[in-house]
Formats: sequence, structure tokens, C-alpha cells
Amino acid sequence: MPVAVGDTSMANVMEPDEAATAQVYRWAYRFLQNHHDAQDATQEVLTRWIQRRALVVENRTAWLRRTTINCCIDAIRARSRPAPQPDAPDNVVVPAAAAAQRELRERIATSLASLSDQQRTVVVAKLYDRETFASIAAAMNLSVSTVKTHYLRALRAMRGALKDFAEVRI
Amino acid sequence: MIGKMDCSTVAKLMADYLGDELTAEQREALIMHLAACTVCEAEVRTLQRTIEQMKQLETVSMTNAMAHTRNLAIVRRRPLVQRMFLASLKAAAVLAFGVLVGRYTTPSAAPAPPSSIPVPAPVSASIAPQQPEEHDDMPIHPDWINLARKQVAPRSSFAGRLMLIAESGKPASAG
Repeated sequence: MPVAVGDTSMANVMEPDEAATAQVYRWAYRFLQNHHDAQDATQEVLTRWIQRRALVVENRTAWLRRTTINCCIDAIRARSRPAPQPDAPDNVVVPAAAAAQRELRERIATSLASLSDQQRTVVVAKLYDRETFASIAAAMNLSVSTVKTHYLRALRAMRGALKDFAEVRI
Repeated sequence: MIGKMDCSTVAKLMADYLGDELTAEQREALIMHLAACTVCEAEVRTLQRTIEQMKQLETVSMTNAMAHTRNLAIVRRRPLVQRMFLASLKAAAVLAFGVLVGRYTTPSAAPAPPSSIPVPAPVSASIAPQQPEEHDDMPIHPDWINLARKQVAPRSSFAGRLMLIAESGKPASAG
């Protein structure tokens, strides 16, 4: 169950609870497709949160999501070794599809990294967390029309990065 | 205008359509427009394909994520300023400890007197009776002086006996 972006009650909680930690893990796993790397990213994000908890963070969920995405992008960029095989427990992934999925993941990460911070936040919140434009706008202190503009621009930018990629069926 | 919507209206509603936030009526009208307009249809179709590609990155369920993060140990690193302060404090403590150890373990570094200068032999207080110091401003009672002499040269020692004999002019009684 995704954590609501506009959940202001969570902003007062200093320590990430179990649900928030699991949500960070889910974000990380989506981009890294590996439990070990997802755990590392989760640990890094939560450590950063604890270090910065004295600072004012208006929306903890938005901060955790943005930081998780940035950590995952950094991890994918910095990864020089061959990526381990995905071991998703929910899906049985054949090796050929896993290799294609890995390439897709790297392309998505690269294209996400080329987006602005706001575009990246909007597209992830909308596509993966199934937030509404209104809730995203409220969390980001933007107008709904601005959020929609970010969404379309992000999709068009990613379309250019993924247009020549063969569709992968898992 | 094609159908109930024109292309500009479709462009305005495209984000809502791709985000699945249109009403049923708006959605129906937009689909009718896409069926007739190739430009808008190509735009929507390619963006929908991008969305499908991005959604291929699936993730684990919340229950599975909780199972993988339940025993996650968070490294509670201190903030950078605090870490730097503690590191400097440790360095200062180590330095102070080293200085103290060095001061109390190394031999005295006092310079020895040069051999050309004769060092006066220490005058034994038992052999050379000390003369009472003369203080013009504060006279000393003779009893205090005698007491001091007895303390310096007690009767039990040979030198003390000699001194007492010299002072009294007769041998001191044993006992």
C-alpha cells in the first residue's frame, strides 16, 4: 500500500516507521530490481533521513521518494560490475527477459536522471505510486496545471529515450 | 474540429487522459477524436507506450518489502560537524596523553654542570654546626636554636655527642 504523498501526519514522525521503510524499499527495488541493492539504497536513504531530521522537511514521503530515486540513479550510474540477476519474488523472470529488463531499467534511470527534479518526482508519483495530480500538486506546492505540464514534458523526454527499445514482456 | 473535441482541447486533456483522471464523458469524446485524428492519435499512442515501458519495472509487494526491511540496520552516523568535533577532541586527547607520558617517562634533561667548574661539596650539618641566622627584624630565641641543633645532631650519633661536648665542655651522660 503506497504511502500517501499528502499525508502530513507523517511529517511529524521523526523515525521512518515500518511502512515508510518498506515504501522506500519498493521504490528502490523498482529501479534496481535486486534485493541486495534495494536494501543498500534503503539503508542509505534512511541514514540520510536520520542525519537531516533536524532540518525542516515539509513532506517526509516526498523527501524520501526524491532521495530514493536519486540514490537509485547514482547506484545505476556508478555500477561498473555486471548487475546481478533479478530475483523478484512476485514474478518468475526468465534470464533473457531479465537482461532486457536490465537494459530497460538502465535506460529509464538514465532518462529519469536527465529530467528536472520536479519532473522526476511527478512522473514517479503518478506512474508508480498512482497519485492524483491534485495530491502531487499539494505535496509539491505547485498548481495542478503545472504538475500536468511537468508530467507531459517528462513523458515526452522519456519517450525519446525509450523509442527504439524493444518492448519487453515479462 | 473533429468530433466533439478539437486538437487543442485534446492537448489540454492529454495529461488527464494519460493519467486516467478524465470523466467518462470526456474520455469518450477524446477517444472519438483520436479515432479520427492521426496526429493526436500518434501522440497519445507513443506516450502510452512509454508509460507501458516504464510500468514494466515492477516492484515487490508491500508485505514482501516489509519482510526485507524488518531487520534492516540503519547506520546512525552523526552529522558531519559533530563527527569533525569528536575527531578533533580525540586527537587532542591523544596528544595530551602523549605529552604526559613523555614528560614522566623520559629522564631529566637538566644540564650537567661543566667539569671545569668545581662543585662545592655539601656541608654536612652534623659536622658544621649551623650558626643562627641573623635577623635584624626578628630575633630568635636561643631555646629554638638549641632545639634545632639537637634535631640536626641527635645524641645518639657520634657527631652529635661531639658537638654537645664542645658546647658544654664536659662529656655527655650516657642515657
